[in-house]
Formats: sequence, structure tokens, C-alpha cells
Amino acid sequence: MTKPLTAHDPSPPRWAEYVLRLVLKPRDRDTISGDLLEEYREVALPTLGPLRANVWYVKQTGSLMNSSRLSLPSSVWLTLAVVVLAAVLFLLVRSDFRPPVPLAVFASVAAVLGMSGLTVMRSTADVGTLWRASRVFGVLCSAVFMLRMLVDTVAPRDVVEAFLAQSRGTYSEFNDPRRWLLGAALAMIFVVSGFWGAWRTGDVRHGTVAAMATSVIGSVLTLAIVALGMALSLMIGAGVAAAFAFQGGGIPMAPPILVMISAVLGTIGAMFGRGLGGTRREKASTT
Amino acid sequence: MAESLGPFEQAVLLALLQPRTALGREAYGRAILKEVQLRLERDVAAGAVYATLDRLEEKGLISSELESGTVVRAGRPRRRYSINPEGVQALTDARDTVKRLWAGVRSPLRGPA
Repeated sequence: MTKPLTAHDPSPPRWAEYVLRLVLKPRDRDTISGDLLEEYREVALPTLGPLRANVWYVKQTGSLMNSSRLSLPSSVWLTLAVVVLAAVLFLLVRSDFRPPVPLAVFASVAAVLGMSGLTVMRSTADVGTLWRASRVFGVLCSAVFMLRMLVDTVAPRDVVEAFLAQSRGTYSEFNDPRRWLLGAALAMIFVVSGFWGAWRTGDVRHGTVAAMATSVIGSVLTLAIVALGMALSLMIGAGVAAAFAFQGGGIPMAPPILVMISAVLGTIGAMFGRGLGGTRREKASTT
Repeated sequence: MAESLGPFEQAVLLALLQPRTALGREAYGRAILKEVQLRLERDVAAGAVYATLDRLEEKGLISSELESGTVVRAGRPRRRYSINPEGVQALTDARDTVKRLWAGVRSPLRGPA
């Protein structure tokens, strides 16, 4: 039975204790948090002082989260995935499919998810594994860009009208199928690559980083093809190649935004992958 | 032949088999962490040790039981680990594998002529 801490006992930050207990298996909650509390009181506090001892405690909690002991049940991951997806869809519908939150907020969320995902990359071998897991999705991503560029080449948009449309109060992305079809296709690719990354490994971070790699591979491949188109148009003066390359002129703007979007959408897919993959593994281990 | 052990797993098993310190003989998570750090002569993340203990227990190489907690732990129990005969055998196999691997190799090592 756990004795509650009193106000007089020197204790680590309450929120860190809460996070620690949340991520540990029920079997380990008291024993491991007890080990850390003992070390905190007997060693960290006397040698480091309160502030640095608290930092030490948070670092230890981080190391436990980083290890394979992060063991939220599959049902929790699935529930989280459904809730987050519902929240994102709600925000998108409410904003008429325009950016639903300020860029700074979105960038911060994406940065936290991205950095957390990158903690799984520990060696060059991991980069190779990531490449193998993401290259097909990256090529698909590039194919979507190509298709859009091809459509714009064959049937060019009225750029001025498109610009003016966005300034009208009634503007919605749904009025411009070329935009939302491209967006929806890319979103699906990021969600699926995140799902696949977490399904294979049982780790949400692998899904996040797989989706980010997908966006980078897709962008780089597209940029290479656009550059080739420009080179061709310069060399042979081919009108179609020039027009095609012109349509890709905006692509270099895309990679940073795409990586942020892929981090968020990939994590949503990864939560589904972790939840469903974990359920499959749990069933397999009981049969 | 049993599945081979990694160096970190060997360090954890050795910490349980022949602890070098009084704390190490208490064989609970924190004590094992200190022993492993001593053996490897480097800082080791607590998460890595707990994950390894979990894995070794799943393989049946070690067992654990709960002991009552102390005041400094706010009454939270300790999990004391002990090495099983299968664990001792796995360590012996690991040492024999390394011995066979290095048989006939003279030290210091020299590159190809």
C-alpha cells in the first residue's frame, strides 16, 4: 500500500511523478517510482540541491518514457487517435478548411512531435531502415505533385482569379477541387505512412518520423524533376517542359510546411497503427 | 543453443550473480542500475536497465518478488530480482562463445600485413 507523501517530505515535481506513473505499466508503478524517489531523496537532493535534483528527476522520467516501457494499452492509443482525428476534423470544418490554428501554434506542435519522433534515430542503420520504410510513400507523394502539375500544364488555372477568390469572404478550399484533392491525397499518404511505421514497430515515434521522411522524399524527388524540366526547357526550348517546370515553381516553398503537416498527420496515423497493431500482437500472444 | 545475450544483458545478469557493492547485493532496480554503471564504467539510463530486467524476466533468466517499502520510498514496494539457473547457463554460454571467438588470436591485435 502506498503511503501518501506529506508536505514536509522533499518530493520531486508532482507533474513529473504523475507523468511517470502514467507511462509505467501498472505492475511497475509503485516499484519504479519508489526506486526513483529513494534515489531522489538519498542521493540527488543532498548532492545536487533542489533545482538540479528536480531536473535529474525529470531526465530519469524521460529516460523511462524513451525506453520500451512506454506502455499505454492499445485501447488507449486507439481512443486517443479517434479523439485527435475528430478534433482536427472539427477544427478544419469550422475554419472552412483554411488553416485552423495560428501558424506558430501549429509549428510548435509539429516541432514537439517531430523532435520526439527523431529520438528513435540512433544510428546510420536507422536511416537506412527509415528510407526503406518511407520510399514508396515518398514516391507516391511526388506522383501526386506531378499529377497536379500535369493537370495545371494541360489546363492552366487563372492565377489572378485564384488569388482574388482567396480574398473573398465566402472562399472555401472546397470551391477549388485541384487544391483540396491534392491536399486530401497528401494527407492520406502521410496518415497511411505514419500508420504503417507504427504498425510494423509498435512505436508511435517510428510512425511520426516515417511520415516526415515521406514528405522529405516526396519534396526532394519533385524538386529534382522540376529542376530537370527547367533544364530541358533551357536546352531544347520545349514549350511543354517549360510550362511543366513553371507549374512546379511553387514547390520549393512546400517542404518546410509539408514536414510540419506530415509530423501531425503521421502521428495521428501512427496512433491508429500503434493501437491496431498492438491489439493484433496482443491477440497473437494469447493464442 | 540458447539465444545469445547482448553485452548489456550480460552486465545486468552479472550484477545479479556477483554484485560488487553492498547496495548491489540488495538486487532491486536502483541497486542493479548502480552495479551496471560500475561494471560498464559509464552512466546508464534507468529506463535501459528496467527494460532489460523486463526482457530477461520474460525470457525466464531471472525472477522477481515484491518486498515491502521503506519510509524514504514513501512505503512503495521494492522489486527484488534474482538470477535463475537458466540465467547462469546463458551467461556461461555467452562467455564460452566469446572464448571460442577469440581462441588463437594474439594480443595486441595487428592489421593485415
